[in-house]
Amino acid sequence: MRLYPIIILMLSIVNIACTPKVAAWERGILAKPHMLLQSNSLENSVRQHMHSSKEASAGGRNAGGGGCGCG
Amino acid sequence: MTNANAVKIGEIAPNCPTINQENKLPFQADLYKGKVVYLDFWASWCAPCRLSFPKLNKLYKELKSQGVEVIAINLDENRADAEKFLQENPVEFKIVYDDAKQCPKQYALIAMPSSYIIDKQGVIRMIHLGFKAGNEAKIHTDLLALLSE
Amino acid sequence: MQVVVVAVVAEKNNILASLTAAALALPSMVSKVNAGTPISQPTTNFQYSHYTEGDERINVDIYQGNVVVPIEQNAEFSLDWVVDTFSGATPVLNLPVAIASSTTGASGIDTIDNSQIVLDNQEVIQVMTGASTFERRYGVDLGFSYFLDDLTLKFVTAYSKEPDYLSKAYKLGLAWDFNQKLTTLSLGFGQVFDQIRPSTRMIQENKISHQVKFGLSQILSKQSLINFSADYMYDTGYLSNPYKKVFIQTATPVQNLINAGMPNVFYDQRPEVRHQGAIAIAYVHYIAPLDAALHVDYRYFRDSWNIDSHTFEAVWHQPISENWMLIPRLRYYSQSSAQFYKTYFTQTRSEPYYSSDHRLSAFGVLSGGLKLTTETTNVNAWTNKIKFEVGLEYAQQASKLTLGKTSDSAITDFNYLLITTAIKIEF
Repeated sequence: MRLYPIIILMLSIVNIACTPKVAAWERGILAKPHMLLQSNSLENSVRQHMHSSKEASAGGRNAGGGGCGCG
Repeated sequence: MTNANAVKIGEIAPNCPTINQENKLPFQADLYKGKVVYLDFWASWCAPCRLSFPKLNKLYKELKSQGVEVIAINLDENRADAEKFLQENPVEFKIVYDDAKQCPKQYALIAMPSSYIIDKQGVIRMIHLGFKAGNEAKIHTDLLALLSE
Repeated sequence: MQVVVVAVVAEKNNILASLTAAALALPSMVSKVNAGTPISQPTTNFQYSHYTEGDERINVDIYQGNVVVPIEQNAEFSLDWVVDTFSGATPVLNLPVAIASSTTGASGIDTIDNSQIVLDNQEVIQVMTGASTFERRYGVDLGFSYFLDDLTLKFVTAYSKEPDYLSKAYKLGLAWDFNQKLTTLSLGFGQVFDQIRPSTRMIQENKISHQVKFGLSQILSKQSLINFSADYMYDTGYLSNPYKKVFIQTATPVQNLINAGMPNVFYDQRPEVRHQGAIAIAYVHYIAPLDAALHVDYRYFRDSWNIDSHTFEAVWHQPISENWMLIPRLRYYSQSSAQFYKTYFTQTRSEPYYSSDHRLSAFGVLSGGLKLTTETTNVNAWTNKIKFEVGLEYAQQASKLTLGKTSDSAITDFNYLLITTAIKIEF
């Protein structure tokens, strides 16, 4: 049962994905470093390291994407 | 999700429809008949665009006397951002501001940067999407080939 | 556009060197990978962090760094290294006060008074490791990324060594940009092979972890984006903590358990298989009037040991002038306990699994942090950018902070502080 909201969310993401509305030249804000999904700092890595050594949970980190898609 | 109205290789380069603050068209292809045009769409927040500028400037300085024109249409939302970048990284080629952002729509732009190489007859001959270090060699070859036509 | 330097520190997850050997922590084995462009110039990072827990009971110093070098136009190579030094004492065993007998002083509990009947929820004391432990870990990761137009491939191998623990891992990652780069799909797979040889026991054990990862990012508007991710992890082998002990009140020997030197005290024993799953959502929104970015994350985790957890995190990135940024963060974490966890056991269980490791107990953690960064560009002919960071995070871990009700003892509650300073150089 818990999976239903996830599936609905994913379908709606796919739905949004098929109707692009942010043009290539409109991604100046998304290109800002503080808008990136994942921070590549070592500070982040040590903090995540610390959490996972104290807590019994794993996974769930950002996988990629975001930014201006410049290429 | 292909773009039906995207500008294609072999087509006549379209003019841009709107007039900008300086009271001129961001790009008017017929002005450059007889020249080989490198038409570039860029913004200061776009890292590959920033990377390409010094390289384009070098190409332009080398080939302008042979009839190459570089026109870079800026798409920053705040013009000041572009001006700041240009102050730190001055270039000799032409910068045009498209305040209404109609030109990228006319060309149905899908990537930043995008560049169109237009021959002496005004026909789009090559399209480059994105920019990586080293791409300038290919652009150089393309421009030379069109110049010799 | 933004260059993503994958900083995978040999993630064996044990800041607490020996004491986390074979602990619950499962490394995040699947490397972060971002579709995009390779860097055009080399970059290097160095960071020093200091971790301190419970009034200096534990101190850890962590030195780490990385170098990323572009290769031709379409590839980059990365090297990450870490050296951490642990010193301090950690809890080994919980004993009900009524039966703990001491002949050598406070921490020297050396026998058990078996004439007492122990009931649940009695007052307990924590028995700590005797002498202060000192241990050093070395880790190295090598990574290679290859960039195609819309596709990024990454391969990482990791190696980590400390006196009682050896870990080798590899990770494969793929990210694909499509839909005019408004959508990114990422997939990852990794395996970790660990060897555990505890300094205090004559055993040598192995453990293998597997992880698959799925991620989907979507640009929602000019100023917001969302990421959905799902992870599945599967561990087999020796998943117990060889240093932890449990008290079990029993009149007869407990099957399959190894006695740990005192009557009714045994070594921690966990199942040899563990399935874990996590789903997470991350949302980023730009707040135009302040030029700030708000990042909100939620993760739900569940495993086959009956632990589930919720994690909420909010981070605010506030530029305070052209080159300065202030980044406050708040985090709340809550987990339920493993089905075979108790502070101590008043009777045997139907399955031969027992643990009193507080990492498997029900608790919550509330933490707050602050980071300040500054950068200078066009430093000189050789250096394009230098960035400095200082950060700290303070956390309170307590059983009373658990979501819902718990009867787990508060004896293992503690606070910790993490301080970091880092420098990043782009050539």
